[in-house]
Amino acid sequence: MQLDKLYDLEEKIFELETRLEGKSQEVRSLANIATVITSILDIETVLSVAMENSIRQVGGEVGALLISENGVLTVKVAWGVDVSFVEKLKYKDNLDIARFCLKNKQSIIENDCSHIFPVDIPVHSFIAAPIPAKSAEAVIIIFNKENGKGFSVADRESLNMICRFTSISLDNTDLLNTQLEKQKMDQELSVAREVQATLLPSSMEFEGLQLASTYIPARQVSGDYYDFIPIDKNRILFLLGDVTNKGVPAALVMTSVHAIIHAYVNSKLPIRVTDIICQLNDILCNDVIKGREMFITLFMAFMDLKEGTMEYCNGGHPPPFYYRASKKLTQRLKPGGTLVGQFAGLPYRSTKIKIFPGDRIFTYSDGLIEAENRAGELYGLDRLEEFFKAGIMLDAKRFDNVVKEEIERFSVGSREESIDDFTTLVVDVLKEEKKKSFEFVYRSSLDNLQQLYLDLASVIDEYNIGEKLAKSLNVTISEAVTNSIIHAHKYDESKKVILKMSLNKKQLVADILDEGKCCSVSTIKDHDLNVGFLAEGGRGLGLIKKLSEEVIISLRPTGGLRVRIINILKDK
Amino acid sequence: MEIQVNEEGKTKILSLEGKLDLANAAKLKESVIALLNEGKTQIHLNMKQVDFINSSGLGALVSLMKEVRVHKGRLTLSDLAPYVNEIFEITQLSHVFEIYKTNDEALASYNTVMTD
Repeated sequence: MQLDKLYDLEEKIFELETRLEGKSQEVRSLANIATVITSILDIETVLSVAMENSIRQVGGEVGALLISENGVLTVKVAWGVDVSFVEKLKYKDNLDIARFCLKNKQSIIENDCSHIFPVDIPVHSFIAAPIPAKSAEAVIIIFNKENGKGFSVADRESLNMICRFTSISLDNTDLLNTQLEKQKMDQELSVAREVQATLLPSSMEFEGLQLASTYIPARQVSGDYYDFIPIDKNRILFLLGDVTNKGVPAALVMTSVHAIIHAYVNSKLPIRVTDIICQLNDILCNDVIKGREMFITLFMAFMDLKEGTMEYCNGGHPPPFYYRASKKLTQRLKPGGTLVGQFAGLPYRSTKIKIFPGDRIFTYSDGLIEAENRAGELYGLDRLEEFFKAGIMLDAKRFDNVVKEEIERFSVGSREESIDDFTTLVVDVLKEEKKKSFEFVYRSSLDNLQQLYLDLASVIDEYNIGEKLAKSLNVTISEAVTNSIIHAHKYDESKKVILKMSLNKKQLVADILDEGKCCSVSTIKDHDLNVGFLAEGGRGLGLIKKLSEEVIISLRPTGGLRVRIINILKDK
Repeated sequence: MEIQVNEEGKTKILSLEGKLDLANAAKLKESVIALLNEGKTQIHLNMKQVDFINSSGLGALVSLMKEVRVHKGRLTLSDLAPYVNEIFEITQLSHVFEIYKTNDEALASYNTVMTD
């Protein structure tokens, strides 16, 4: 009896050990599956590995993995069973197995299918489980337990576990792909930004004008566009436009606008702002925007500095401010037509005004007047006009800077989506700069050298000459004047040395004229610094030559010498 | 041109201030020649306050150097402003004159020579 019990117990222990062994094998195998599945970062591979392992783990005959893409359920992996077969198996609530499973968000086991499916369908059992991924809706279905018995609770647990692993992997893969895609997009956008930046004018120099601008896209690329296109040395076309919306679509239209305008200018047709805007409008309507809800507002002006005129057309753009210095008046440059790119064939009118030195035109994109403050209040046109008037004494560059600072200050703490592309263009008509020329006369006495240095200091100041050139001018010109006093005039105080200085563009010319009796320049010209170490004199002309851009010595018609010393003024 | 004269051992130190041009060259020459005639033959010119020199100034210095040599003395310079130094370089006179960076270096050179 006791022995029987003992046998019984032994058998039970054996049975338990076997079960334990089976369980731990199962756990090991699931752990392996988990490692494999979660290490894959390719959706197709994840799915087929999940399918294969599910079949093996629960011991099914055939199976399928279905995934819902854009609301349509399709078989992604079919394991020994054909697609149409899975889809036509209606289960409950008039739904097929997959849809039912997804709807109820739980796994199903059916071990007696005779009453569910038509008799000719060779399915006696199935197990199905949803894959609970955030990035996809998917189901694994496995048909017919191999041993013919039916699927067990343990099978359900295994399948659920595999589905969870799969969902982790799917979500990781999805995250990675999204990130990669974003990265790629970011890279492309930053290239686009560079391309767009090259479309903007590279030089802000035009003689007679001071130009300043700021261009800050709200996103990587912008729908704002400003340009100034010199036509010749007196005439310049400038414009500022704003394509509706922000980002890529706006930027694409902006590049078209740039191309159309430049093509027009390059075609050598007579420049008329209305012609350009009409052509731009027609091309945008018919070929670019084509009825999409997009358009551009644009201010374009054509300035002729020789004639002293500006012809402008405002295509629905917020009015630029124009300051007329002579009358101390500010006016808004109002529309000459509606926004551009929506109504083909529309006429545009231009206005031509006289412009004068000291006048300013300030053009901007709506990012300025639509800037919001913390309270959601708009900056607005009136405030901008007041700011424009207040800043009129600043030069163009400085004004451009303070406007930017003003808007930044205003919009501190505003909603992020309220920040728009920000573009400004300030055009100042400069006062004609007639740099005065100088003439000084010195008697031939060394006492006058002190006066010469003072005179040179005033020239250096007037022409805004840098320190290095200033020093060498002191040497070279005093050198030439000293030569005249000693050699040409031999200290004869009745004879005068004349110094004339003038600045033309960047070329500074100093003429030193004497009243000596020199009749040949050839002997003087050859002087250089090679006079030996211990010579006391003879270095003067050599120094002048060495320190100056060019030295020209010639005889004056009235007798005497003219020493012309030429230097190039460099920017400080 | 302002010329301030000091003495350090046997060396006369002339601190020059202003422009070394033809107008001022004569004054400098006179001052140095007066010292030479007193038997002071070690002459150091501190050029720290000289903001300008031209060929006339250079000519005066060359002339003085020759004068000092006749008296078997020494003439040294120090503290050349960058632009003045450049003029010495351009004219190659930097190879002829004994030029020191600082006053102290110049004076030390006299002491070194003395102990030799």
